[in-house]
Amino acid sequence: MLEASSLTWLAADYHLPATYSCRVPMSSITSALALPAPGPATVRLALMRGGIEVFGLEYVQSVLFPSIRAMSVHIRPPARVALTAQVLRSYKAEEHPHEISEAPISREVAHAEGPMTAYIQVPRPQQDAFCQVLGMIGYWGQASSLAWCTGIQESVPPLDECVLPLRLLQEQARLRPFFSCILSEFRDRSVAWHEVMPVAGGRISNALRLDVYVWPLTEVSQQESGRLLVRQAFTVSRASV
Amino acid sequence: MLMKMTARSGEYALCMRYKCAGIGMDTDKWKLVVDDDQERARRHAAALMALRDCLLSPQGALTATMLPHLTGLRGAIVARSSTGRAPIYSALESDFIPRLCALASDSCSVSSFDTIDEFHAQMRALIDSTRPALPAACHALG
Repeated sequence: MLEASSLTWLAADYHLPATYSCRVPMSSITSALALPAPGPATVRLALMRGGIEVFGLEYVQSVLFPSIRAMSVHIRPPARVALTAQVLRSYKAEEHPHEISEAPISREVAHAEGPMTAYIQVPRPQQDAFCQVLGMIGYWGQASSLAWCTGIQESVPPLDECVLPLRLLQEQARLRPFFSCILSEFRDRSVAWHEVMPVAGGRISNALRLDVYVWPLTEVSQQESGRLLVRQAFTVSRASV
Repeated sequence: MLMKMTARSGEYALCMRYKCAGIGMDTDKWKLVVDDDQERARRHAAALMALRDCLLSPQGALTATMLPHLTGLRGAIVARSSTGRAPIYSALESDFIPRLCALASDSCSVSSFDTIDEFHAQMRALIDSTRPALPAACHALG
């Protein structure tokens, strides 16, 4: 276990150039709800994926993964996020008979103004490696949810503007209609590699846990099924870790 | 029989990303599956041609009756020649072309286009002169 002094915070800003859709866990695939920004498990999995692309599977498994599963992760959503439901064609490959079936589905998509920021706390000796990995992340969740890393700094997360588990929301937070939803997170800091990188035929364990999270976003307008969310700090007076 | 149908035109913004290093790769483990360079080059060219043609000859709703077609095309092609992500920026921003052009560097070429023939010529050059790279992990492993 590393001491806090040997850790540092990295803050990576991401421009979201087009619509994106990170599905709310447990929402139906055929009627999916979207998150305003990726959740903590999505960030960890993206770090693993980006790391494998840059450094290879073995290095990530042996060197970076112990940090990825144990690190603190905070996500600051974009300043404004619009959510709208879209009707899409979905395709499913049938095994017997071999054919592709098509069906309409509904899926919410998000469109953002302003960058989203991912904060990760990493061991100082691995700082350069994680900077490379953060720069390699090109999408969140599904490949069509494009993202581009515009910059990485050493910066402490402003917790008042980051998504939080409901149970950690401070009592003095002003009561507002903050956007809340279920998010997934790694089960604990001892999640094993094979649990998050399952192999074909292997036993699938529950490496993720679900929790209710609150986003520092409030709804400012609604039109039919569309909503506009604007970032608002949980508390106005404090913005520190 | 007379039939009335509304017709419309619109300006659409679109971002696309193509990662040639993923050609012939198992992109979960980033291991090379197709190790024949010729085959990788052939697939790379096919992907670029498909990307070009989906813009120059679009499909969409009412393709059979209304035949959606281009009346103009402008944008920028950003190509990264080393490990990392090519910048991608929202085309809804009115200044997206100069902003992308300002990001050009030794490892990142940016070429803008204002007409469909300029776009076609640039894609032709990419198809003819580029080959798919190998991802950084392959270089790291030797």
